[in-house]
Amino acid sequence: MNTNKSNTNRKRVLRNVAVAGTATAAWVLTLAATPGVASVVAMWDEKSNHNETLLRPGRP
Amino acid sequence: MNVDAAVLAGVAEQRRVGTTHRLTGDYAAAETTLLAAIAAASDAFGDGDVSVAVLRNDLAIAYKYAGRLAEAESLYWQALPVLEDVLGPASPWVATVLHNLGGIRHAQGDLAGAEQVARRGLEIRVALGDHDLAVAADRAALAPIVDGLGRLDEAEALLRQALAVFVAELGADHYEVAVALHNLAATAFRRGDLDEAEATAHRSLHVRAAILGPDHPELASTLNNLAAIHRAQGRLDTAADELRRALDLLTGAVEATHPTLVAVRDGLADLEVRAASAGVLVPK
Repeated sequence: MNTNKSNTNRKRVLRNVAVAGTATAAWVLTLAATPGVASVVAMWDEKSNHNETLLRPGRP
Repeated sequence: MNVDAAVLAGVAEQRRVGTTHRLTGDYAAAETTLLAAIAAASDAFGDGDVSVAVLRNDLAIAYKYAGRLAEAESLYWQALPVLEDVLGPASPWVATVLHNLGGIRHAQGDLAGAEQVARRGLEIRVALGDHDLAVAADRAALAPIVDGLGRLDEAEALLRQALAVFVAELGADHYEVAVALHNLAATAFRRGDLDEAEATAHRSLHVRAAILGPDHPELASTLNNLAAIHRAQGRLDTAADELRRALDLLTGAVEATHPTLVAVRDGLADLEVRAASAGVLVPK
């Protein structure tokens, strides 16, 4: 498998898919068979966007 | 379906299952599943394929939740150059990994380093004109970092901006809302407004418990903060109950060095010292 070709195919799809944008949004799986793109999977962008302040003893 | 599509379908299913394990708090199962997905994708497409980078991002998130911060950071740094090379240095995926790296540095206590990468991610996303929710998520994640740096007003402004978008787009009972409320409660606490801090933290806990269930390890962070609020109000018994519940939720689910577990243990130790000095027994 040619990695560059694989990446180019998926790059096209990744750019065209509206990714979910938040970790808990519905995940998106798209398998497509389109001319020039043998198979692709569009993957949602998973974020650990839940940084949380932890209050500690002795802090304000 | 050709071989390529079959492999991708299998990897995508492993990704879905692994992420589901992480969301349900089963971090060990998430690791096993995502490692298998990485191996399959790497065998089929090569270690430098974008799918492998995406899966490394997922595994890093699971590691973060489990408290394995150094391993998570290493995976993000492996994924980032692949995504920059394949998708471009100013692409949404690059912004996402920068966002996540900011989270790791925040958890490690490197707040200046966290702000640097988190801001770079936010700037990329704003410049791209990305969806409001994605920008709000970046702002919400930046807020605890600037809070930790002592810029309380800026943190609150970021959280309120993000919260307005989350409520409008996702509804008032969404997980994103719960986390933003958790952090807003912490800023209220720092301002000394204990009543607002308590009410906001309770609301956060209620929303998150309704989504995740009453026994999810992610409830522990808000229980820890509620305990700090109640301790400040002089309600030591309530605080002790909350910390012990948090300890139960985390024990066995995360590493001993997980930041929330460390905070919970510190909180319990502090309570015991206070109770001993006051001649009061802390409920076991």
